[in-house]
Amino acid sequence: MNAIIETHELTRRFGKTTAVRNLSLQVPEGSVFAFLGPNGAGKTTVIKMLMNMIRPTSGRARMLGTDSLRLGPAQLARIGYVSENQQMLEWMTVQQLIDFCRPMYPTWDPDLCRQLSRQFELPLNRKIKTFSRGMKVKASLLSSLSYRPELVILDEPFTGLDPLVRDEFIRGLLELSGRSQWTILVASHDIDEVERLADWVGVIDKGERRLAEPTASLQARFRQCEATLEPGREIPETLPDSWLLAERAGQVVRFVDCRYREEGGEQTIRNSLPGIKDLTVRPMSLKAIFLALARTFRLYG
Amino acid sequence: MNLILHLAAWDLRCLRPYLGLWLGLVVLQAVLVGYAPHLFPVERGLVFSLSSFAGWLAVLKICLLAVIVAQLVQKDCTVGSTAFWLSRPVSRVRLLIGKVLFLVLAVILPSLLVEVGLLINCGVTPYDTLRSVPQIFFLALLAVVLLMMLAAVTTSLARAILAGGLAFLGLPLLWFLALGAWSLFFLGMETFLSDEITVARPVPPPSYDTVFVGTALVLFVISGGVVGCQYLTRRTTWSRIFLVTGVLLALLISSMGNWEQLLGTTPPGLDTAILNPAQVGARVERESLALASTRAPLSLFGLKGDKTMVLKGSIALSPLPSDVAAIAAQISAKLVLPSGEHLASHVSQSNYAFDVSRWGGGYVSGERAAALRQTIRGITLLDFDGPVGLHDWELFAFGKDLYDRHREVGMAYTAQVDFLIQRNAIAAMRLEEGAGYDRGSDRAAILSVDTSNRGHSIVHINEIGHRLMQDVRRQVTYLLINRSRRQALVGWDSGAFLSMPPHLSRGFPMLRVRRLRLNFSPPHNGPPIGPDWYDGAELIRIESRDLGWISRSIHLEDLVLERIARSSPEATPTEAGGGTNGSIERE
Repeated sequence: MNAIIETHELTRRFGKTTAVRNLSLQVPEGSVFAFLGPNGAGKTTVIKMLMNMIRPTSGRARMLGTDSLRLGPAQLARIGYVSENQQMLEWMTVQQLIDFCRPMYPTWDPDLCRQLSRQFELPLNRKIKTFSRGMKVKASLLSSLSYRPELVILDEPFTGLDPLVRDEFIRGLLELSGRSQWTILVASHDIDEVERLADWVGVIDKGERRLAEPTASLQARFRQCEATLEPGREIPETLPDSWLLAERAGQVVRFVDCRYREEGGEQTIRNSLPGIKDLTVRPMSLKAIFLALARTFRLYG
Repeated sequence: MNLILHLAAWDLRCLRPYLGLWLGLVVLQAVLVGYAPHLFPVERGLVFSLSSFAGWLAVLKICLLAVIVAQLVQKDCTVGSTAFWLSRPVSRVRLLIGKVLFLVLAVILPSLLVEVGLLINCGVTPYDTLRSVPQIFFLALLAVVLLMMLAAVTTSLARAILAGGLAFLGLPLLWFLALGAWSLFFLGMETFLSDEITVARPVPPPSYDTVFVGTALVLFVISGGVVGCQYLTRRTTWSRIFLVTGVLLALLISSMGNWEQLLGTTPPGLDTAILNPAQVGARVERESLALASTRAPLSLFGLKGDKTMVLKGSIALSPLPSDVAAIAAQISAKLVLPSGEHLASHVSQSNYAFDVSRWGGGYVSGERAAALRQTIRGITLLDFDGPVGLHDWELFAFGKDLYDRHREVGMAYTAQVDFLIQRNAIAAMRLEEGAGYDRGSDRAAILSVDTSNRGHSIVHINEIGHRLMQDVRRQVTYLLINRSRRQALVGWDSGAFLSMPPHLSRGFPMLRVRRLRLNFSPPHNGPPIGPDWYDGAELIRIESRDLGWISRSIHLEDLVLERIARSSPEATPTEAGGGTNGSIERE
């Protein structure tokens, strides 16, 4: 795997609070990486360290093969960054924003810029300060994608966008990522938005990495299971570690199996829980997996 | 370079309304200083209003400059992690260069051009104008860099103002409180309240400027360093620590005094072509000696202290060239009994000689009058030649008990006197409207003459002067002289002035356009002056310039206090000693 982003034992403390703790992560080149975590999990802090906006307390990060602390204009010209926290040049019109940004990027593509502005339906001669939040995000995207960056980093890009705009935005991103081999890192606390996009998923909670793997593998190994035992059968006190959020209701056990294998998976469950009369195994959506993981981390740390 | 220009161009686009306003204020101020004296009539109130307006305009300019710098720096903020430029391929160095380039080209350069135009318009010679350019540029750059420093470590104009208040008002206040506490703790209350004056090392005239220049340079380096540190490292905490340390360092430098005193360098001697110290001697005229009794004030609280006797007398340095005057600036004296026993020591210093800046002051002190008298020998200054003898210097001061015990003994008086040497340039003008004076970059013209008020006369003069930092220790005094009667009146100025740079003209003088309102009044206790006195009178302008110092010893044998004439009782030392300070050390 050729990683375009790598972090090693990345840690950031703000006073006594540790926002990110020993985070090691790799984002493969060409992937759409969904960086998930609840509010306050440390996603934005990680991204800011990657972008050299804040310095890590310890550990290191590499972007496009360069140490993040040495990230300079040459690397930034290959990165598109959109964040809900980023200040916009609000005194400018969209056209002025384009004129301002264009000379900074040798790879600026006027055709793509025109296409994006049409697609986003941005009024070129209106000042950005008069825009709604969604329009501002679109303007930011326009100025961050028009130079065909190799790496696009989106930090909570959907916040404040109405569903229609979100949908357009996601479709636009899908189209772009499909057209060129861009690597996209999307940080979000809401899995719904990135489910359609992501081919890799990383989950962070309380500053620590919980998982990072391809979406397909994640969805392949997570199953929502419901087992009904034969009458008179006792449910054992201890269940396998891979069964998350196990709930007992009479003869019924519901759980999330996080190590399910397509071949022989049901048999493994039956072996672990003898006397199953009826077993239902359903694939899980990314959102359901994320919620199951979030609840597990919250319950068991 | 293209990207730097690109960034500067967009800054210009963003800030053009403010820049328009800035240019307007710069031009308005220049017009006011350069043309107001010609455009407006000789009305005292109006001139004062214009002077006051110019002052407010200067304050407005500084406020606007603060807004421009804060907008410029904080729109691409270096504090925090949300600025737009942080995710763009703009290097920090280029961003900083772009900002500095913008400030130099769009803010400082127009101001510099307008000020240079103003100097030329006011008749300042091209040579002096050229010499002013680095000073104008440095002052503007210093203001800009200081504001940039405050803006660079904060995120909004309000916070920058707060930081400025804390750094430049709060820290100095803390500093002086700490110094006061230190003095009290280590030196004790007695020393703190003492009136004693230590013997000062005379320094060459321009040297006091080193305090201003030193502080300004330190502030410039520190603020430049903070701006550089913040832009290049974006470590705001370090930058703020650097800022506080720098301001404290500047305070330390400004508290230390002159570089010459600090480094112990020997002041350069006088030009022997003007005055050869080996060929002049100091003496006290015995007949001028007088004793006055007074009460020493406790300087800190203004309370009257013990009864004190002050020995006054005329000290002369001779022979002196006709255009040179000597002022006894510091007298370090001791009294010795015939047995050889050291009785007491005393140091007195002249306020006038140690004054920081005296150029353009309308007040004429007794010491200044004494110096003028040396210049216009044989002519009586009607305002100052009263019976009190204000030109006599304070030779010694001692307690009443010492006087009572030793008044009949013939003592020896020895003193080292440090003389401030001044050179006087005299220019005469006919006392009529339109008459004038023109020498290099300095010029003056009489606007009106009014002698109709029962002996009093009022002369309005428009005076333009140009000074650089090194030339500040000069003083101009106007006299009305009636040569046939051998009498003169001193002109007391109650006019107003416009200056560039405003508010800084004391520390960094450059161009000063003054509307003098000279009031010549005969003394109340002297003979009345009729209108005919003015018929033969001419206006003379005496410009005194400090040249340097020389030290001489004086010695008086067989000084019997009881035999010395007593002058008016209960006169304060200032009245009696012509503005000198004194201290007593008893054995």
